[in-house]
Order: sequence, then structure tokens, then C-alpha cells
Amino acid sequence: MHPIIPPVRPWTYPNEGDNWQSIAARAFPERSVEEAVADLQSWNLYLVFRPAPAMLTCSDIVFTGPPPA
Amino acid sequence: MHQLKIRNALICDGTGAPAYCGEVAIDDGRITAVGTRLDGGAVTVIDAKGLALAPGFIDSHTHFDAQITWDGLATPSLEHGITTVINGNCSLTMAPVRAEHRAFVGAVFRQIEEMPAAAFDAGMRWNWETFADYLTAFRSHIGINVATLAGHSMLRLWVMGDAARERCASVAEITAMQELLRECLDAGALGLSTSWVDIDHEHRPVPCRLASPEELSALCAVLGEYGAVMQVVPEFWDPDLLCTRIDILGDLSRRHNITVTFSPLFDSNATPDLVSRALARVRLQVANGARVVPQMQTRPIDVTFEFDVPTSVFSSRPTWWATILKPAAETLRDFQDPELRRQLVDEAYNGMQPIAMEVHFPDFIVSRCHLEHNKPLEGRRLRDIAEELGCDPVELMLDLAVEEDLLTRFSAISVGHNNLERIVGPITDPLVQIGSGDGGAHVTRFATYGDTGYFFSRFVRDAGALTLEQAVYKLTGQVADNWGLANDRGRIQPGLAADLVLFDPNTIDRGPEIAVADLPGEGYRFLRRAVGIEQVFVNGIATYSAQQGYTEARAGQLVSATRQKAA
Repeated sequence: MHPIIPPVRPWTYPNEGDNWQSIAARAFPERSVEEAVADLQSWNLYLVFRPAPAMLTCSDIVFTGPPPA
Repeated sequence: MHQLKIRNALICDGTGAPAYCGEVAIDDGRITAVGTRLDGGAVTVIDAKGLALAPGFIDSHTHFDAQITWDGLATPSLEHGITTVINGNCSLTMAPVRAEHRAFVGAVFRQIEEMPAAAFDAGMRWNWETFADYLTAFRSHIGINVATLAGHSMLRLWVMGDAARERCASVAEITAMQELLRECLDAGALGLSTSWVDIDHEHRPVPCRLASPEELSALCAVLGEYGAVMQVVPEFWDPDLLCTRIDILGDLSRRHNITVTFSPLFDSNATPDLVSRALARVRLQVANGARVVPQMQTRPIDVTFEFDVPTSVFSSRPTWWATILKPAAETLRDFQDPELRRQLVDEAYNGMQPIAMEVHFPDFIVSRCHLEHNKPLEGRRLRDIAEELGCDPVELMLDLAVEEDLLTRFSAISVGHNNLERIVGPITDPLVQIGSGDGGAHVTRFATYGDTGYFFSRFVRDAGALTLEQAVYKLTGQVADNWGLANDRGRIQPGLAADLVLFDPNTIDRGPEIAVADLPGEGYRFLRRAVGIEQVFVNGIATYSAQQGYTEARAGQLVSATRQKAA
């Protein structure tokens, strides 16, 4: 990303084979996985409610912070 | 002595410069002279009688990939003044496709682009696999210029087989995709298209969505070698997602020195600040050296439907969606089940809105009735009919559908991208390109034609938001600049291809939406006829006129990007 353009929200790409737990562990290593997953899911409802059989893909954006107030 | 001269024309040259009354000379398909008065005669002289003469319009977002193989005019685009179409958007192309993937690709194309299976199957001969052979299959019979993007999903399928739908690519597979993209570009592809949102006929992500960021960047590196363009569909309905995607595109543009364009930039009442936020983000990226081009369509979204085919208008209402996904006989039975009807009516009023649309059932129009005694209802709103009859509008819709064996046709008019007050600023913004029209797609749901006429009638004449010259520039010179076509098309200038459209600026418009049974095989599609377009020339040859319709000329050419391949 461009060094002087801050992102609108912090985010990450999933790695191949990732699930909510593994993303949470990587993005928030200092937090309990359970709490971090709950936060992640609340910030990414578009992924949580994506109907099966669609899955998390490596090109998805996963927000790792809340929407701006 | 010139071959053709058009005199007494109001020349809008595609640069945005003031129009002037003048003459244009054409020889061997090229513009050879332009001026207020040209010396020398011509074999054929056309008196434009003061009508506007513009470069042929360039439609940068179309899906004529299948249709162009059986309809070399890409009807009815050409009669709307469009002389160049850019196919292959959204990661979907008809090549390169191995024989074993034709069924899958056809199903995906029909799902996403809402092309009737019977028409697709009847029209597609599909006797090619490579990109070069695909272009060869139609290049000899086109009356319109055709540029084609290489679809990212097709590159993945070719290299990875069915695994393209399951996983990221290996380093070796990414290298193979790079080689395949070079092959497509050498054969004449205009660039690459990809998507972050599309799903296939089995509701799974299209193959390109399984790509890692490294894969996409590697393909963009190849585009950089050729000076070619990438088109992408982002999450256009969500401001935070869209702005983040714009940042990603900005990064790819700077890193590989390429132009990236996304479509659509779409206004919605659900997220009224989306367009302004996205444009601010584009502005920031452009100010920092990126070439990111948003495409915005001119028309609001209208959707026409019958209940025998599922339509996205109902996708966010689970009871409706589940009911209309069933075979027609079961849908009919469900529509008569009292308990289910109660749920359907409740959900019609209280259910979630579909993405980026605002659908109010009572405002649906009864657009076609099957039974004679119901014909007087055609063209009327459910709300108005129900008020007269003293019933509920949704119940009325269900009753009509049941009585007519699901053959009643309804229209949801202006359900998205319909707030002129919000759209008029962005659509005139110098950073925004006109596009996203989707010509050749969604043919059984709404007419994707006539956006050019609508642009002039709504935004130039009605709103006064642009001058005639500015509007012409946005449909010609600006598109040519963005897509690397400016050395050959997009302006009235000596040396450039003689793609020209003669039109009446006081009347140019789109006609009403009509259903026409002109597809191969059975079925119909929705289209709009042109209003105010007098004559269209493709590479100097008259190909359409208001008086005579389409001619037999097939002077269209394959269009590829200006090659700037690194030495």
C-alpha cells in the first residue's frame, strides 16, 4: 500500500485455508481467539452472511478494525 | 478528389473543444481532412444539414462475447452511435477456453449475464479454444469495431483446470498464466478483466476470486509490459470495501504503471454517500500517481421479470427467493398456499432490500398480460389497480401471476442509480468515465442499450449539466485515452479511423424498452431503439442510417491496445 495514504480501515487478506480462528490468531496474537473472532465477524458481516457454498477466498478483504464512527 | 465528404456538419471533435460548422473528408476508412471548408470534391458528398457529427461512441463495458459470434453488428448498439465495443469484462470471456470447459463457461456466462440457454446454445458454434482462434471466428463478419479483454477466470481454468475453482495457484501456475496472458495480448486482447464479486451458476466464487494478491499482481506486471488496461468489478455497494479496493487498484497501477478501471460506480439510496466517498478516494490515488478510472452508467436500473425465471429483485427476501427458485408448477402451488402467501406479503413489505436497489412491490408496473381480459392492466402500477379494486397490491400481483400461469410480466422501474441530484455531479466529474452499460448482458431482464442517447437527453438537454461537446468527449476521446485507443480512434482528426456518428442534438434519446424475439433459438430479449441518430459510419463505411436501417457493410475491425511493450 502507498506509504502516505492510510487505509480507510485496517484490513488483511485471508491466507489459503484460513478460517476465522486462524485470521484472528494472526491479526490479534495478544487477544483470546474467541473474543477476536467475535470482533472480526462483527466487522465483516458481508463474509459471515455470505451464503454457502461460497467460501472465504484469498482475494477477500477482511477488516481488522471497526467501521469509522 | 476524396472518396467521401460530409459537409455542413456541427463538428464535435471528441476533444471537448467548441463545436463548429465544417466538413470532414474520408478516404480508405480514415479521416483525411477536417476544417470549416475543404478544398477538392468527393465521389460522395453528404449534406449533414447542421446535425452534430461526432467520433463514434466507444462502449467500454459490454458482454457481446457470445452474441458477436452470430451477430457481427452487436445490435442494437451500433444504431445508438456506438462504433466500438469492449467485450470480455468481469473476468468472463469465450476464450481461451478448452473444449472440456465449454459447458462450465457457458453456464457461468448465462448465469451472470442472464443470457437464455436456448439462445446461447443455438448461437454459439464454439469451434475455437485459443484467444487467437476466437478472434478469427468472427473478425471477418463484424460491422462494428470489437475489442476484447482476456478474462482472468478463463486464464485460471486453462492453466489449472477444475482446481481453478478450488484453490490459489502455485508459482509455476502463475508463471503459466502470465505466459497465457502474453499470448492473448499478442493475439489482440485489449487487456485483462477480473472480478472480486461474481458468483457462478452453482453460487460459488468465479475462478478469479480464488487468486492470491500475488497472482493478480503478476498478471498486472504483464499488462505493464504491454501498456494494457485491467478492468475489475469491486464490491460496488459498500463504501469501506470499495474504498479499500480503490487503494488496492491504486497500488497495482503505480507498481506496474498500468491503468485500472472499475465498474460500476453505482449510486444507491441505501448508501447515499458511497459515490462521493469513492470519488474522494480515487482523487487521492490519482493525486499520488495512480491511474484509477471509475466507470458510471448513465441510466437508472429497471428490472422486468416473470415468475417462471428467478430474478435478483427477490434475492434478499428468502421466502420469495426459495419459492421462485422452484419449478414453475411448485411456484404456482406455493403462490396459492394461504400461509405461504401471508409470509410472502409480509416479506414484500418488511423484507431486506436487495444489494444497491430499493424495491417497492406496490410500485411494480404490470408490463404485459397473457390473457386478453387482463390487457387493460398493462402499463399500470399495482398500487393504482389495487386501490381501484380495494385489495392489497402484492396479493393482486400473486393473483395475476397465478391466473396467467406465471406468464404475467412485471417491471420494477428505477430501482437503483436513480437519484439524478446525486448522480449529476459525479457523472460530469473529469475522473469518471461513462461505462458499465453491460450491452449484450441481462438481455431477458432489462435493456442495456440506449445509454448514449439517454446521456444526451437527460444530462445535456434536461439537466444542462454538460455541454454537447463535453458529453461527446466523455463518450469518445476520454474513453479512447483511458483504454489506450487514442492513436486510432475517439477523435475527429486527420489520420484516425473514420468512425463517425451523425445525430440531432435536439432529439437524440433512447426509445422505449421493447421485447424482441431476435435471438437464435427461442426466446426474446429487451432492447431499445435509437432516437435522433441519423447515420453511423464504421471505418468510413455507412453501416446504419435512420432511413434504411443497417446496411450490408461489415467494415468493423478488431481493436487492440496501443502496444508499449517494453524493449
